[in-house]
Amino acid sequence: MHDILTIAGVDIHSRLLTGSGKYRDESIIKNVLEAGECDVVTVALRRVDLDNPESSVMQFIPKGKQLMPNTSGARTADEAIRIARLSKAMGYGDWIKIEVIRDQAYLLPDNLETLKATEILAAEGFKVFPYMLPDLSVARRMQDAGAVAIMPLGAPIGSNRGLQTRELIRILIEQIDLPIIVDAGIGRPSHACEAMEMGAAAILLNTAIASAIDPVLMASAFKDAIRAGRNAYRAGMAAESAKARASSPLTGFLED
Amino acid sequence: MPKSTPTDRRAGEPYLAQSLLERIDAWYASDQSVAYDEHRARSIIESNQIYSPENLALLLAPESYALIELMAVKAKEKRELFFGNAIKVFTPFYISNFCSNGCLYCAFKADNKIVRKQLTKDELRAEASAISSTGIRQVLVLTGEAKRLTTFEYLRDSIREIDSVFSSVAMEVWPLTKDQYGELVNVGLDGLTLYQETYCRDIYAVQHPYGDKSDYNWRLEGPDRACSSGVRAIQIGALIGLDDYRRELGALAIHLDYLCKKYPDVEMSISIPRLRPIVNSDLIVDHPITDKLYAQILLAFRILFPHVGITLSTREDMRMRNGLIPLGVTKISAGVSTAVGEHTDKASDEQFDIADERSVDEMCTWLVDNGFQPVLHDWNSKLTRSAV
Repeated sequence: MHDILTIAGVDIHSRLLTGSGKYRDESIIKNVLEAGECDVVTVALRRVDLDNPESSVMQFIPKGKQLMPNTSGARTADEAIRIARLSKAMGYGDWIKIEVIRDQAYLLPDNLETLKATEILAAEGFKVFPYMLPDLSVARRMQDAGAVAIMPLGAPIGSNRGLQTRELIRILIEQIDLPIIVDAGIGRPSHACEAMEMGAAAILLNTAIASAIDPVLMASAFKDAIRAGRNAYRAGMAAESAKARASSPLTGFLED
Repeated sequence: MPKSTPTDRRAGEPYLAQSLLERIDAWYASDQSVAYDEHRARSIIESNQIYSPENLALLLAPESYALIELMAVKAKEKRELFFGNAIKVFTPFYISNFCSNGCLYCAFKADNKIVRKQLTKDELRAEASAISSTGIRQVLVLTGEAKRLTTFEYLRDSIREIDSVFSSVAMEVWPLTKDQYGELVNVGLDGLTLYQETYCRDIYAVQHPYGDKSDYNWRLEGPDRACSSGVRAIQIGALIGLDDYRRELGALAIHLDYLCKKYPDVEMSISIPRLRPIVNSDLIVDHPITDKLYAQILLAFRILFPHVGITLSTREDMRMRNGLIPLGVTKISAGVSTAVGEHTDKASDEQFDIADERSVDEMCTWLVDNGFQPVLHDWNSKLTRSAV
């Protein structure tokens, strides 16, 4: 059955999006992408040596992958905008994940600065993916500003704590007509599966794979979990109930 | 050397960091004794508690050395959670060692008869290119404090020049005015390292008998001025060995906690150097710190300030660095010389003897072999200053 995620005109076959940081050995990134069947890779421009781009992590990302450069390190909308423009000028395309962080303790995004950057960059034709705290009002403004997806966090970056913001993400999925890509905090395949069961369009995660003892096997585990969660969502899950319900109706005798 | 002119602070102008000055003074006026309770110390570590003055005092207590293995396990876990396997690698870049201060513990002090040098523009370029050829992309520019010779304009022009060669430039120089920090940010400065050396006013006065550095408040407020001028990263620290370590580190932690809360967007890190031997002097360390105690100190800070970077310099030897890196260190220097011009050979005398002489290549190889990712490039100042 046809179940392809299309964002900004690009068909994405795998709903596992991943990053390229924190690897002990960057040369395994290629194997990770293969095992996770990932089409989309996010890259921090801050780690790309502008004087020698080929020496950086870019050399380990196979050609043909959809790049999603990110503005990690930006503290204001203005800085994020500059990084986005530089990324485009360097030939990394017009997708940009906006990350504006003014908090070093939990690395929580600043939604207001992120919105400002989204408004300006979307107007310039960028395909903007705002990384944000799951706030419905701000997400609506992101949508109005022209964002192509919304990327709410499940828990702080790198924390592996799962869907701490579950209810707020559920509301975004229900109310916003854009793909909701849960980004950050997903530590286990079961977390990813749960987000997909709720109706998330995709998952972006990095630490849980990069910091695993066997990152390649972990990428494959996440791929399977995400596929399972997606299929469960599409299948329409039976409602939960606090009490047991007999499989045969208790009032069946009335029909006799 | 003439005594340089005082800072440009206007008389009566309030300090940016008034509340910090008050907190530090209150710390020294307070009774710092702590009733040791092993059960509580253990619980601080196991239940992921963060900094409070009392938590720090407990983890720094000599009795807590009994918990060192538990501290190490927790510290390693926190380092991995917050920083992954990445270790930033940089090298210091000494551009001048002229100095009009009299810091007793430093070889650059004005009355020490050593070979002095300030790099000319050509020498600066040659030195930059020599450092760059080792693979280093992030440098820490250092000078003494001799504002008539090493002028602000010289510093600014040097940073502009160095920024064109490296991806990221930080500096460790005399405390500047807010506007000067802003001007340097505009030519490529990303980070500021400014150590108070000692937070105890009395010891500070003894250790810094003359020169502009004797102005304690002006120095203490330096990070505030830099944070308000757009500097991205701040490193503070205290030179341990001058005062009782618990009193010193209690004050350092107050400063750190204050900066983290007041400037949440600035990347904070600390360094806690132990005093090292210097040229022409038999330095007497009043409060020596053993290797075991030093490890306990770093672990306590890693546990209580999990998101703060910890830099370990080559004042520590290879055994200590190799042992401590996995337990909480996030940034290290390599290919180090503490002399001016040594990467191109016409060198001055050194600021202090280094204890780990590994080259950039050797250090990176060790990191990779031990499961770490050496990060030579973590930021580029051109990313946010580009004209696009």
